[in-house]
Amino acid sequence: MHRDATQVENNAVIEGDICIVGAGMAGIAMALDWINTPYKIILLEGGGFEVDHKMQDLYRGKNVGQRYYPLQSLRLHYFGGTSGHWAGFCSPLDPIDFKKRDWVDHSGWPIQYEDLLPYYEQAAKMVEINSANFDFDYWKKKDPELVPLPVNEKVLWNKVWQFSPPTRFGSRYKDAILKAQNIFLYTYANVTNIKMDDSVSTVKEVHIKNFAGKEHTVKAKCFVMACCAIQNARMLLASNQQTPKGIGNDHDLVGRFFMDHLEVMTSSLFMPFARQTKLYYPWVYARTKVKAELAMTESKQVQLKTLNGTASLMPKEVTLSKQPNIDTFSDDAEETLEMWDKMNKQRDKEYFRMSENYECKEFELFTRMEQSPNPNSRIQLDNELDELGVPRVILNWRLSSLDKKSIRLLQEVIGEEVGRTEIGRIRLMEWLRDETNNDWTPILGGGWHNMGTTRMADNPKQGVVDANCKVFGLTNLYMAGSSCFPTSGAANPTLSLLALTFRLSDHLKKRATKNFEDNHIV
Amino acid sequence: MKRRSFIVGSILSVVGAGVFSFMQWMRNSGTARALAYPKFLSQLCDSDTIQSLGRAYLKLKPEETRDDVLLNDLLTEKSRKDFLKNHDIVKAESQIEKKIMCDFATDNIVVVQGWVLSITEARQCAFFSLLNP
Repeated sequence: MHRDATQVENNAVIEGDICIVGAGMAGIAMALDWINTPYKIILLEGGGFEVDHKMQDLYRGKNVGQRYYPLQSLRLHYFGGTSGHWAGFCSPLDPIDFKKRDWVDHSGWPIQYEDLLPYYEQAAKMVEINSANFDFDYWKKKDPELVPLPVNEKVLWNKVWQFSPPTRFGSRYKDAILKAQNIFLYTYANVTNIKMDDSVSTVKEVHIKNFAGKEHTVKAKCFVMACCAIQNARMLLASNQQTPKGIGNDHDLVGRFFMDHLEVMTSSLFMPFARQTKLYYPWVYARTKVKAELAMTESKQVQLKTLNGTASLMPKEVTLSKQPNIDTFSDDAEETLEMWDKMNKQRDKEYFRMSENYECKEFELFTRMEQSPNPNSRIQLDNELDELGVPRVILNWRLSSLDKKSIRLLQEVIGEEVGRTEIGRIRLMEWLRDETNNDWTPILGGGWHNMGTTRMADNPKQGVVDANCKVFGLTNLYMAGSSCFPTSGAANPTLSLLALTFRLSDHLKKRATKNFEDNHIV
Repeated sequence: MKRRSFIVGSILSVVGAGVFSFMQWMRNSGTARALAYPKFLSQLCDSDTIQSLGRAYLKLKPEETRDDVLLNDLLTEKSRKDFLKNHDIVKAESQIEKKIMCDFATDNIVVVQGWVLSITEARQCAFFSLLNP
């Protein structure tokens, strides 16, 4: 069911069992998981069904750190959220991503890979990929043309990616949400404050506002914030009427550890003879089902004390016409949608779809590197308020020397392997050559993957949420999505954030059976 | 003491003369040029680039700016003796190639002008730059 909150009588009190704040990928996935349960789910979306500038402006903020994308177009503030301009890259996190690594400060999750693994299947279905199996051997059997480079498997491995169509959650799941009897979607319902009870241990209600001047209250037994890493932190910090530091922020951790993947051209691979490289073939929008990137094995990462990362091979011809993402991403969210639409229409004209062009001699390596958790990389509140009266954010994206060292080491290891096997030679780009220089190149971009601002930990001194994504110190407030990631891993977060959302949903179902059964609303 | 110095001095002179004569022979025979040419890398770079890489390497390792030092490092003692005995250039080149692959396998690399090179092939480039000033 759907209601436009601008059309609801002012000061309405909306009640449900679970209130999900944010109808992006995590919020929609969680809501769908509760269809046909005896619980009333309130799904709040700040925007409507189309992107519009006024809604996007609520996300506008300052960036005082490393160069980054404009915040007003980085995330999409409408039903379906940022899936609206998602490229569709899917790959799971690796076991090492969850482990405590003594060379990576603040690393280690309170859950392990095995805890998340059962939920990848459900996540894979949501994003409409062929399988939750990402083993290279599995895909090799399906397509014998996927020939790997003859590298030492103890040093480098082929990390497989699958590509979602990509699933635009807004259009793909709109009908299912609207038809569900127990899901109540409210659009134009921007949460502006989270209010707790007098003991400051339980969230009692959230307040919502919109541009029509309407204000409402939503009461529920349980609240799930699924607004993306920046907005999740922003809402906790901005809800500071009862706790001056903000909700869940007794240890000044909310908003800290903001991470993205470092995505950048890093080196060239020169080969004397062309090789068949379909496995590493450049991604073609809505066409490529699977490809691999070169990644360092866990044992090699341990040996070199490096972060996790991958490198994709892009034929030189492709890169010649490609400008760095950071230079081309529009500050107008509607333009970012148009950009993807244009790519979609051009797909049949893609030169590199032709199989004879799988053979190349010269590649650029495009690296996607984990960012090490950094408490100084953070979201804070600005004095400036948005149009609904919520403080805007200041982003201070900060990188470390380990991040750069890891990028360089990955190139060197690939260089050693292609040298040892006489495949070719690697040449680092100018900005990576001086190992004593920790400056970053202006072409460095993020992957539009915001993570870490309400990180998961064993205890409240190290994180904001526990292993079940519940905010420490509160009985009924949960965070969904990649804001809970303590480390980012090498893979794009979408598949894993969905898996984590389904794990949270599972946890809430068990809890609901115990706590809601006597007084559920539906 | 004087006797000891005399003996050490004599040994060094003999070894030095050996290396000197080996180098002289190498230069004169033109064999040095062949051994100084990084075969695999030359498929990717032209001679000017190889020279430039060589000069850059020597800036990183100025103590190696002598062809006898570089040649010593390119060939093991055993292969140098074999080479003097059999004059088998193909075998010597093959031994250098093996050494290059071994360098890559054992993390014995150097980054020169961005190129991730085996130390041995970087020395080849350096040797090449000395022979082609």
